[in-house]
Amino acid sequence: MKAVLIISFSFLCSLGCWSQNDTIKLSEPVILSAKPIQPKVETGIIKIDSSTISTYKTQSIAELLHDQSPVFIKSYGPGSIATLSFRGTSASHSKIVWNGIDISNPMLGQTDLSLIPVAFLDRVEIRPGSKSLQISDGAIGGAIALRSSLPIDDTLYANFNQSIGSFGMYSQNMSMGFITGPIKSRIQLFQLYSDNDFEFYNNAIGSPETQRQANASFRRIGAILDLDYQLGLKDTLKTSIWIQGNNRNIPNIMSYQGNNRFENQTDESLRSTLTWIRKTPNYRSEFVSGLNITELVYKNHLQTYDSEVQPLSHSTSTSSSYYNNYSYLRKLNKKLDFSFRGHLNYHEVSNLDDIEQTGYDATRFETGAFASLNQRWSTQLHTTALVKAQYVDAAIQPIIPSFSINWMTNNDIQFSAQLSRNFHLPTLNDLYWIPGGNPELLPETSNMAEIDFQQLLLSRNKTKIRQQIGVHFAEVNNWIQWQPGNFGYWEAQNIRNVQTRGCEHQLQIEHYVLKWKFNYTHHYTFTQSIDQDVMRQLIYTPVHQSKSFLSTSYNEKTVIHYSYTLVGNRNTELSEFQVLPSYGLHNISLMKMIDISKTHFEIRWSIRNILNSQYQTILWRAMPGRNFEFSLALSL
Amino acid sequence: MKVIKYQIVIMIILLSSCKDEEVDNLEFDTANGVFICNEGNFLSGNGSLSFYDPSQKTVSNNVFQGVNGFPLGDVVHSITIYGDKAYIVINNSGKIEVVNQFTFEHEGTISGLTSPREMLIINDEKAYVTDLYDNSIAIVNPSTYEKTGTLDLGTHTESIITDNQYVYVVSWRNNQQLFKIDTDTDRIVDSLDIGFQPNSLATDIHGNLWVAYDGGYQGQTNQSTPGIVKIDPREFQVESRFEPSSGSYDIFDLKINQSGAQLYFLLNSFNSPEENGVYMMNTSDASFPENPIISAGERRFYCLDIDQSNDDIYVTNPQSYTTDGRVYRYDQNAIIIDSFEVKLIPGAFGFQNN
Repeated sequence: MKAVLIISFSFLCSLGCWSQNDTIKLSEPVILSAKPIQPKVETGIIKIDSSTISTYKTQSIAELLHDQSPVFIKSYGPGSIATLSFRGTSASHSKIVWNGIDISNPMLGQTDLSLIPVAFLDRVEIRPGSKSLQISDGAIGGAIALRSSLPIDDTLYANFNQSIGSFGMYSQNMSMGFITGPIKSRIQLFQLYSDNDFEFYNNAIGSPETQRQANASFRRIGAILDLDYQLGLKDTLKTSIWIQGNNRNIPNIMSYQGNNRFENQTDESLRSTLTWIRKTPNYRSEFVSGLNITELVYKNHLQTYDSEVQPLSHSTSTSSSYYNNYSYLRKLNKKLDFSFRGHLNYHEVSNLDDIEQTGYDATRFETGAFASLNQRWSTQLHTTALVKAQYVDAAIQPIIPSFSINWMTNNDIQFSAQLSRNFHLPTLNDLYWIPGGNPELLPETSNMAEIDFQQLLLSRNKTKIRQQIGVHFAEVNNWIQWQPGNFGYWEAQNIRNVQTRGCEHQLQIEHYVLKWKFNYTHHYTFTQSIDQDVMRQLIYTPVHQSKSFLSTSYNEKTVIHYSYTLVGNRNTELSEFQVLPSYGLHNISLMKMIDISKTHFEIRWSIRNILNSQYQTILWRAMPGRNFEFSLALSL
Repeated sequence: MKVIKYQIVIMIILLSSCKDEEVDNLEFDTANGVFICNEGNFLSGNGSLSFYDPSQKTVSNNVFQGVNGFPLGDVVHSITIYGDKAYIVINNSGKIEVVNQFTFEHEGTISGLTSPREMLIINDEKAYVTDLYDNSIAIVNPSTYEKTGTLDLGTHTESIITDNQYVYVVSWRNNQQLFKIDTDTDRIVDSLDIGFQPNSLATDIHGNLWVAYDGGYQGQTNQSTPGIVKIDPREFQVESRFEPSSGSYDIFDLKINQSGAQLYFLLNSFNSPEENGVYMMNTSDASFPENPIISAGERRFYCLDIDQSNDDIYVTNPQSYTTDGRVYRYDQNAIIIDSFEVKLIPGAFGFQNN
């Protein structure tokens, strides 16, 4: 009965998303393996484990986070840029940390999630708000921690996956690895191409009609090498090298009825980390040295009235970032832990538009450290105090304090509360872009308060129910915004103050019936992110979001997954008129596993947007209707 | 001009993508009003059209989408009124939407343009459309909504004006040229370098041509002092040049009043915001005006225009650029008459009585 009430409450929270919606909508399909899937929940932190991650091998992390986390993914369409928003903050307020280094572009301050393949990841951890302080800087919205982690029990293995899908999509993933003595190694390769020429109904023009998306194809290709070397009982050396190339054509907005225009963007990146870890009974230390080199080339050509192709823009942006992070955790006594983290980073960027002959070169040097004390007052109560300081380009930055209290009544209930302050530096584009960059910009600052509650509601032989509730509040000052200025160009200003508040509810149910396993996860978020000047919800920030995932497996050989994502209304401007309506997406997939001799086969069929809903995540950017994917994977 | 008074009811239809409809009923005079082009945010497709009734001091927003059920498009840049039609130039959607200026009903689309900026109608069968990127001006038929040809200038074009003999057009971005065009032959007859980044033109009572140029932003190649030039169209030479004595400014939106004797323009200072505002200069003045007739104060003036029927001064303030913009209406003595909110980034006006 208690479980029924909890489930009912969880759905009732979602009803706000149903306002003024007369279309049945679908969400992205999520492919599951036969292993039980349980995103592990610590107070406020969500960990998505490898078994869940493995079901998204042909997709980007944008799709994974869209389905499996409470964050909002703002996507311009399949293959197009996708960015992350935590609790109503902007994309630059969120950081992506891979193997301990922040891979956010120092020019833009954000990461395009559509370019990060899930195939290269083994662990994903979502840290909203102040939970990000220990792993990143400037993440006043939150941070996503990504890791490559080698298997520990397969001495020699190889996996291959081939997928084909709608709109001319085909992809291949391959991985091979071995363990010998102290060495573990794995190499992974992937390739993805899509014509992306889906049909959509264009109602943004005077004569609405069904059209086919044009100039939207994309290709991604990449490889990653992971190598672990166990130096002894205490020390481990890890290295990862990730190279990737992406080429995508950018389609026009739906209202465009002009001359032929061609936009294209290529992104190439080389990322590498070298990590030394030492673990003893009393302390743990980790040193990470890394680099992140990227080059982005954007081209915009149009066909003139004379049918010649005229270049409008040919912009090349390169960035080279070098990281050195050291962290140390020590148990001072039975009740007191001390942790320290220091970093020394250097960024060098360059931008040039060959047509306009504008651009800039800039560097940024960052160093900083934090120290924290974790005091265990009893088996139930502990507190953590943290202080962080940074020195960037010869300027001392605001001190960041944080204090949290954690209380566990018993093994079933955990409660935590946290107060903290954070700041986000202007990006290098904000400061130096020509024209419009503003070297006088101040850092954005944030004061945050969070309360999290986690409870194991039910734990029996065949049934487990767990829920987590979080409440948060933050005030962001000196929010940087680009707006039209003098001489017809845009310029960056500290002009906005925003208050964000909200709550997040997560429910997880695991149940077994005979040979059937059922796993259900539901996320609901309520977010108010209010511009204090006009007292309105920020654009593209839904107040309500609801995400449900149900997986069933029979005898660990047949898996069916169903997911439903519901996103509430979103403002597209800070006024009353333009509101994008809510949408919901239904997805389903069926997977069958077959073992023949020593070879393991997985066959998977997926249908996304089952009900062929027409929707927009960004105003007047077309999204695909119903689409299909078929995959065949084999493991040796 | 034929004066027609209509009473219309506007159905405000919200975005058609599965959204419930909200209905707003408004009745007002649509024959003596002012159109305001709201650009919207670049690449967001949320440009719109507002309509203001000066006699009633009422405004209705989103009149195009409200009547026609589909949006205007991306960056509504300018509007040209001719006969019973209004031609709305949608810069980043590559088209011009044509409506009946009294009922706002959609009548046609001129599509296949590159990056249109302003439209000048020569006669019932010919109009020129300037372009931000294309090196040609598009020649279109305003009656059939078809593109009939091009006029190659070798560079992009911005503001355009006619003295009923010739057409004059400036090339703004990274350029300094003024072109003189024969509309019978659709050919350039002359060109003149006048100042870096000319952006707006006006003709006075004596037929002289006036052009404002912004001089470029700090750090831009070829940056120079902004100013205004007076050109004798017969000689096609710069007759006089008026520049501020010192400082870094943006000078734009040059307009003239109905008598053709007073020029108005916007000035924004890079270093001294107290100098920002609307400036007025008599065509007989010998020097650049020193003080604004309307100070911007805390506001940022984005667009200026003069109602030729009564010399009322209209100026816009986009405010935060993601919220509703505001329009201020002054009389010719710079006394405030009215102020009202429109939509995102109001950037151009169209006067039904002009």
